[in-house]
Formats: sequence, C-alpha cells, structure tokens
Amino acid sequence: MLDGGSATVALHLPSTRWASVRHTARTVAASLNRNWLTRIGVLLTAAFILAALIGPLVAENPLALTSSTLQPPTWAHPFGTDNLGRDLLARSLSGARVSLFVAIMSVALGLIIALPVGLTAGFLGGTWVDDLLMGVTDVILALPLFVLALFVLGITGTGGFTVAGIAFGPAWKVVGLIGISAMPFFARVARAAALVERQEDYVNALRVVGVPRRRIVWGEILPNVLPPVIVQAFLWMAIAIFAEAGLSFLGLGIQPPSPTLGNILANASSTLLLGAWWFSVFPGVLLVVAIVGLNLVGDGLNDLLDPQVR
Amino acid sequence: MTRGDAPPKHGSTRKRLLTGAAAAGAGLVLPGATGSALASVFRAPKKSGALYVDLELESPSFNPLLNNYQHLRWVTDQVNETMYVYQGAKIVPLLADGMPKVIDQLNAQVKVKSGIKFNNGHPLTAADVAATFNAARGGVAAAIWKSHLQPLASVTAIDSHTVHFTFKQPWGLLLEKMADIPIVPASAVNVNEKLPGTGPFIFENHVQGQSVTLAANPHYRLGAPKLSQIVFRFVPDAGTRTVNILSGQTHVSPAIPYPNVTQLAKNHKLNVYDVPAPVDLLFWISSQAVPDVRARQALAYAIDRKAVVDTVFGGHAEIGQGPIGPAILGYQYTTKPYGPKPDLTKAKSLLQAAGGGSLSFDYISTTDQVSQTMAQIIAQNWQALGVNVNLQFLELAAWQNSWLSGNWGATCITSLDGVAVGPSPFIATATIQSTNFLDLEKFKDPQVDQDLANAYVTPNGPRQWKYYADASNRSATEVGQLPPAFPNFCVATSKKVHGLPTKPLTQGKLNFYPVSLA
Repeated sequence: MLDGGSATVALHLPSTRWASVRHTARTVAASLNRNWLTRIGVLLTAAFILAALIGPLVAENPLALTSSTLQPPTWAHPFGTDNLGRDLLARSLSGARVSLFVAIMSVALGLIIALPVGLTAGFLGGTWVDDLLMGVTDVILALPLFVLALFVLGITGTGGFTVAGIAFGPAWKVVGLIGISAMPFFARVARAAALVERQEDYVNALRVVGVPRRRIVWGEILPNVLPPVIVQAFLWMAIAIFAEAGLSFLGLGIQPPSPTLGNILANASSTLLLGAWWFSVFPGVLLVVAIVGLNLVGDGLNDLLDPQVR
Repeated sequence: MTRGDAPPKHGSTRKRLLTGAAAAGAGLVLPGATGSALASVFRAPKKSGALYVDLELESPSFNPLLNNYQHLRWVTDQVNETMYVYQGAKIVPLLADGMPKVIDQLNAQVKVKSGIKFNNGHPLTAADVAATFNAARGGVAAAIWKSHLQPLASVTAIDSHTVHFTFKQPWGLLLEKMADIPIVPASAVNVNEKLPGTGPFIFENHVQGQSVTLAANPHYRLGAPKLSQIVFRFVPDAGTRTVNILSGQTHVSPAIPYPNVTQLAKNHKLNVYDVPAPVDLLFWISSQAVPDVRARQALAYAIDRKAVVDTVFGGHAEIGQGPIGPAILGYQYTTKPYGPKPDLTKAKSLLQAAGGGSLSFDYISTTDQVSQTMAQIIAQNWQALGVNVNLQFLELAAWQNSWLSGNWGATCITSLDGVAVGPSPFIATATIQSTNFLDLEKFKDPQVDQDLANAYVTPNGPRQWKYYADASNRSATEVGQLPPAFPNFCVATSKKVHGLPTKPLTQGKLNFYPVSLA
C-alpha cells in the first residue's frame, strides 16, 4: 500500500522472506533423511556433539594425575590411561569439547567477516569495491593455515592474549587463525550467490520502489545466499576440527595439560612403540567420527541444494 | 660389426640389443643414483666397518670451541683431543706431557707431548694450545667458554712445547679446564667444520640436514682405529631413532627416550647402557618471583620426586637433592633433605609461615617430551598446594629469550654437561653463584658464594669437592637450583658393536676408538 503522506512502503514478497528459510529448513531435513550416507553423517555428528557437551560433565577430571600410567582399557578407565596416569576417556571428551568449540567459533567468526564482504562484493559486482574486497580475500586465501599459524604464534606465542582489557584464552588464537583462513571461502560463495540474486526481478523491483540497498542486501538477498554458505560452513567445521588437531599436534595450538585431540595424539605418538595402542586409537576415532560426520552432512546438504545433482 | 656389414636382419635381435643396452645403462646409472649421499646414508649398515650413529640434532658448527652441546661433542671428540682427560675422578695427561707445573699462585706451565701431529700432518705445538685457549677466553669462542676461564689473564707459548698460563687471581681449575677444552690448530680456531685434529678419526664429509662422516685416521699415534668410518645421522624424531635401532638400521643410539629404555633392554639384539652421568636437570625456582625462602621451601617439599623419576624417566633416574647429582664429583658429601614423595603438610605450614596468601607465577618449559611431562607433574603438585601456576611451553629459542629475561617463577632445562666438563660440578653449581650472569633466578646466598669461591681456588680433589657439595647442600635448603631428579645416560647399541668403553659413558661421552663391528 502506498501512503501519499510518507515514503513508507509495505512490501510482501513471499519468495524472499524468512518464511522461505523455515520452509527450506524443513525441506532439507526431510531430504537429508532420505540419503543413507547423510543419515550416517547426522548420527556421527550428533554422537560427537553429545559426547563433547555431556561427556565432560560426567567423566573424571581430565587433569588428575595418578600412578596408573599407560594402563590399557579397563572398566575403571574405558579408554585406558595416558603416560601421566590421566583418564583418557575424560581427556578425549574434554578434547572433543575444545574441538567443537573451536569449530563452531571459528566458522562463526569466518561467517561474521565473510558475509558482509561477500554480499557487498556480490551486490556491487564489477565495481572497484568488488575488486578490492576480492583482492583482499585472495591474499588471505593464498596463505596456508599452518604457515600463518607459525608466523602468528611465532611472534605472539601460544598463550592467551588481552584485547581492550578483556583476557582471551589460547583457544581464541586458534579460533582467530582458523576463522580468518575460512573467511575467503565463505566470502566467495556468498559473493557468487549474491551476484546471481542481484539479477533477479525482485531485487530490481525493490530498487525501483526505493528500498535502501542495505535492506535489500541484508533483508532480501541474504536469506537466499545462506543455503550454499551453510553447506560451506558444515564442511569447514570438519576442516576446523582437523586444523585445530593438527596445530595442537605440532605444538602450535592449545598447550598441555589442557587436553585437545591433537595434543593427546602428539603425546601418544611417543608411546606407540611401547604398545600403548589405546592412547592413539580412541582419540583418533573420536576425531575421525567428527570429521567424517560433518563431511557427510555437508555433502548431503550440497547434493540437496545443488540443482544439477537434484 | 664393420662398416661394410649388413645391419642385423631380425627385429628381435635389435630389440634384444636395445634391451641389453638399456639394462646395462640402468646398471651403470642406478647405483650412481642410489649412491647419492641421501640414499647411501639411509641404507642398512653394511659389513664394511662403518659405524652408524643416530643423533637427535645437527650442530650448526663442528668446531668444539664454538659449541659444547653433546650432539657436537659426540662427533668432534673422535677428532679433537684435550690436554688432559678424566679417568674416574682423576685427571691424567693425554696430549700434555705430565701434570702442570705450578710456578706460583698466579702462574703455571704445561708441556705438550712431542711427536704428536694433527691429521693433516702438522705437528701439535704450544702455539696451537695457546691459540685454542685464547680463542676460548676472549676470542671467537668466548661466548661458550669465557665464563669458564674468567680468572685466566693470558696464555702464551714460550717455546714450541711449553704453554705458560697467567691468572688474574689464584685459580685451582686450570687442570679441569684443560680436560674440557679440545685443542684445535691455531689456523682453525674459527673454522666451522673439517677441522684437523689429533684424534683417531678425521672429519671427512658433512651433508647438511643428513649426516656427518668421519674416516679412520691411519696415522693415529696409538694405532689406527678398527672402524673404517663413523656416520652420524641426524634423526630428530625420538620414535624414528628407536625404530632405527630396533630394526638394525643404526648401530648406536645415544640418549634414547626414557620410556623406551626398559623395552629396548629386553631386546636380544641390543645392549642398553643405563648409567648415572652428569645429565644436569637445571631446575630453578626464582628468588625474584618467590622471595620468601619459606615459600620456596614449601614448593620444594610439594614436589613428587618419585613421580618424576618413575613417570618422566621410567625409573632411570635418581632423586635430586641439590645441583650436584650422583655422577658429579662431591656427591658423596650431599645431604638429603627431601623425600621421594611430597610432604604437603610441611609444605602448607611453610607456606603459611611465609605469610599465606596466594602464590602465582609462570613456569616456562621447553617443548620436548621430558620437560613437558615433568612440568605438568610439578605444576599439578604445586596446584595441590594452592599455588597458581601458569604453564608455558616454548620452543628452545623462545625459551632461551624468556629464561634470559628472568620473567618467570620456575623453569627447567636438561643439559648433558658431562660431555663438555666431565664430572666437574662447575656448570651444575655455576648458576647459584650470585655474581654469575647466569644466576637468572636471582639466588643470593653469601655462604654459597664463599663456598664456590673456595672451590675455584682449590685444585681438583676431595677438598675442592667438599666446597662444591657445601654450596649444593645450601642451595637445596635455601632453594636456588633444585632439580627433582638426575636422569641416567641411556645408550642403545646393536650387539654387533664390540668394545665400547663404559667408563666414558659415566661422563656422557662416547669413545669409538676401540670399537669394532661384528
């Protein structure tokens, strides 16, 4: 309705509203259920998340040293004990929680930075703004994560840091590194989707009636850009878990005695010759469950949302 | 075939000819390719008298004046000899002709044996000895040796075989310093590798990042060694070194990981030598961060030394009671104030007497497995006392910077000092001397300073060792340098290795001169 006395315009464009997002989500859930591989992925991911969230609440203290060093699995210690007598089940579950935290927060950070960059670049595609933004993301893309980590951690160390009086633990450094590494991937996907959306009739119609650009981008284009970005987010969560484990394995991530799946495996590597198979197998399996699960879910989403595959 | 002959008629004959040529060519090329330094180094040891030794680290220089870590000395000790050597607690001549002649409190002379030559044919003279010591006390090697030779005013060759030492003050450590510092030619004091030496082996080849090879010196004055070669390979990963010795890829693996010692000792193809040696675990609690001695004593009583011995060193260590360990001269005079298990009751009462309150400091550790594991045990022990310990694991270079800054409450590093200084307590006690720039824990005790000053003017012998021991005992009770354990020196050798002397192992040294291979 047009009100002659003001510039307020009420628009009802059902295909671009948030309702469509909810509809999409329901469709996705139903479609995921049809693909058995994706179902497996959902189960594995759910198991990992459950273990990470609830496990540390019910398991023993992961830092408690005992004299029962390198004991094989028993009822008292289902995953066995490590070289300092610490319960491996407790440490693995705590490590899983750290991995989950790093995965979620790094992906969230990547999205927070990438979405404005990608949407802006896509909406203003072909202009100097697009070139500048994509140039910056390409520079970040060219930096391998582990090289970036070596550089940053070599200068700043592996401990925590303080920004504006707020203290951040060492996990936040890892979150920052992985988030920045993930950003270019999200930005490019968002840009590509935005480039397509800005050609759509509804966007032109919104422009014609004078809707501000910011509202078009965030209110109308964003919901349609989200699906492919969410697919990337799932795939990147798996990468983030792997990257965090890799950094910790190399001694660049979260340091002992705080358990992470990576630093547990790093400790375990020196005990393989002693026959302590449990030290590396159980945390390794947990890592595999997380990475495979998230990858399968991401693949399932990708197949669902890719019109060619559909 | 001559020019007038017809070419072969049958394609199969030509095919056979080409195949044969290709095979011959491969036969010529492949051994050459696989004879590259890389491939040959990592082939299984041949029965050619070449001994393979796996080292953890590659030294940046192979001049024993410029570096005194064990990874260097295990190599260069086969090439460059010292004027004197330790035989147990005694110091006896090697390149020197007799014991030093003491002229007065500030002057001494040493004779060089006649007829000794470097492996390049040049004779060993007093000028080489003087050049070596001058480089060590103030020249290119001063960074390593200056603190050892501070009282030395000058070193001059007064004739071809007589070296004259002048001191700034009475000094009793000349003899042991001459047992520490290898002699290099005057022309090579600042050369990084391929130094001529008087020893049984000659520096032959160094492949960066791969290996260093020594060849037998056929003209060695005591007879040519039985080995034709020693190949030291650089294998940083402890697991790989263990696999190499288990699979027979290497003959000698010094400093094997402590958790693997017992397992390797059970292997019927290996000999494992597990001996107390001057493996110094330099462990400091900062008097700056923890100024009250009662608080430091509380920390000392809270440490579970048995857990450190059993968990970190697999039982292959002795409990520490001060800077001087079981393989260091003077140990027989050490007192034992600390038990193997923590005494939390006493620790808490000491902490209370120190004013209670919460202690909080950084514990910086290097990232190697031994230091990391020990740090976690000790941090946990202190946290049980209510102390807030912030553990930081740093790569060696970063650790050194942090250590030198002094901004820490506790720190530790392992150092196989016996390789450089034998069983002398000098390095183990150096950092508790308040005037030593390495006293980064800011420990200051006048009695300790006096005991060490007395030790430095007393010649090697029981009186000197007693002074060192008194300083060590005081450091234990006042808590300056207080390692929780003294690890053994563990070496694994293949049973094909015969004749490895065990006495040098008690100093962390490897002597391959009498060694042969089955």
